[in-house]
Amino acid sequence: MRAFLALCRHSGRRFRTLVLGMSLVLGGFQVLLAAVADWLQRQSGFGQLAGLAPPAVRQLMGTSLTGVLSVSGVVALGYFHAAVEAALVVLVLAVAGELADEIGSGFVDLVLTRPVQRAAVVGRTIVGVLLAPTVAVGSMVLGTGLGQVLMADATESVVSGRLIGSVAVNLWCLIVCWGGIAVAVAAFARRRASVMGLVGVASLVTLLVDYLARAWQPMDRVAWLSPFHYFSPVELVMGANLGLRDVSVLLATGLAGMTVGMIVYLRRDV
Amino acid sequence: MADAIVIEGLTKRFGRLTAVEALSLRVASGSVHGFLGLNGAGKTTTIRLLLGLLRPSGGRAFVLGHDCQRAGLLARARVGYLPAELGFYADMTGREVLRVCARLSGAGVTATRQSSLLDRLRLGRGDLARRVGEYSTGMRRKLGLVLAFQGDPALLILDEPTEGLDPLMQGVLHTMLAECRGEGRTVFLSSHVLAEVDRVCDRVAVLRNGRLVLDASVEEVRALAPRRVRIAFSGEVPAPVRLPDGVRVLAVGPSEWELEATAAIGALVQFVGRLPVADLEVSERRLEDVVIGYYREPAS
Repeated sequence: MRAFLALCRHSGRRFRTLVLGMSLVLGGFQVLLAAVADWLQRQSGFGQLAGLAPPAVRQLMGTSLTGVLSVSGVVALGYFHAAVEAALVVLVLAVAGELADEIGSGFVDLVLTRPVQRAAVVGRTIVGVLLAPTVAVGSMVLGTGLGQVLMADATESVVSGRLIGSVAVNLWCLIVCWGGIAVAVAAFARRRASVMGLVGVASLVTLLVDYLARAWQPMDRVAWLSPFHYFSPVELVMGANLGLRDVSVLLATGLAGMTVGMIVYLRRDV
Repeated sequence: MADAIVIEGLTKRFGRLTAVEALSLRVASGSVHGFLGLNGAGKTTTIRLLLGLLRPSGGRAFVLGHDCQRAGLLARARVGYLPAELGFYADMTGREVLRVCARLSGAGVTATRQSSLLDRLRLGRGDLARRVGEYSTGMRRKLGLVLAFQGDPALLILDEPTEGLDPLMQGVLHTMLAECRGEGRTVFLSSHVLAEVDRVCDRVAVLRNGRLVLDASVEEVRALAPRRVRIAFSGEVPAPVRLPDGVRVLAVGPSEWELEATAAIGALVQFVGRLPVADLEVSERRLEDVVIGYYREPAS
């Protein structure tokens, strides 16, 4: 336990700037979105925006276009914007990649030649993979709340806490899922760049698969393989409940990745 | 006293490559044991197997009575290790590295012990406040030595400990190793510097292509070393026709002979006693003259 806590402290120091910096930016983005939603609401701009959308987009999105082009939709946009998703995936890849980076740099020689269990090293990384998105998504929720308190018209523009909670939980599960996959890959690797490259490309491909599947029926057969398939923010904005299946699949995948990572790391040569 | 390290038929394969093959070796407690071999001979692989960083393909190894694989945690609690290549994060300061490693160490690292080592190895406060990325090779090595010694370990495993150290610091390290021996600690030391091994070690083991080709006391090995004998004469003498057994000619001049003696030189002294000897110079027996021979592949 002593070694585990020492490792957590060490990694916490190494990642605090990245995690806190990113959390601040993402939280700030949420404040901005709340301000934009409030401004559009006061200018009655949502209807005009919907009118500007090309017919193809209107046909593709159907009724969900109205949902997205609303106060709730714009406020929730920060939780499913591709740039936000990419930033959070990169964050967990950086944290999980430490496992491989320590081997590549030789730092692991200083750690594992002391009375430190390998499980403590992986356990520390798993804690990081769970904690980093918690801080970042938590900061986004705080940003949303702060933005609404500061900007929103109290009678019309306040977005329900349930919606924000659902979208945030779904996003957190998605990022933890990628974190688990990254831990599994990092347990095999010797360099952080390999982990970031491999899992980064996988996340991009599966994101495209999910987007394509929404527009092109044949892709639907493989869409279930993409973790993004179980992230449904637009449906949540439209009033759906957070699906237990989505949460379960994402968390189970993340947990499976972490378990594989633990088993591999306990047995590998470093 | 029990052996500090016991290796029994240890084998490590990386795919098709066999890095260490059926290695068996014992390192007595309280001794300084040199571990020699050319690059790629399997020294570092053996050390990493002892420390549980690598999984053996076969055989077993015990460190301080504990199985390296099954009870590695207990073994490593009393081991100080200096790797050949120190993997410090460049953005960490020396002080941070010391703090993290002290927290991870099983044995309590006291501030007194740490500061005494820092003083001896001349690492000042200013040095510790700097990022490790700015350190010279020698400073990194000194920081690594503090990390290895600071837990007062019963066994020190040092991989190329003097690499990059200036002669003054090499001397300090040699003194520290002698103190370890005096305190009953064991040192297992891998080095390419044969003169250093000759000076500080009690025993040497030589690896070639992953196999143990020599394991003997330094005295025994040194006794096998040939000595150069230079004899200067006060006048011209004829070239020797037949020399005593164990002596051969390296070079012969009209008034000087250069010989190599593998046996005791009493017979040679007797042989040249009837000649006008002006000067006689006998070199010391050197470990490296024997060990280098073990490094080479045997002629097929």
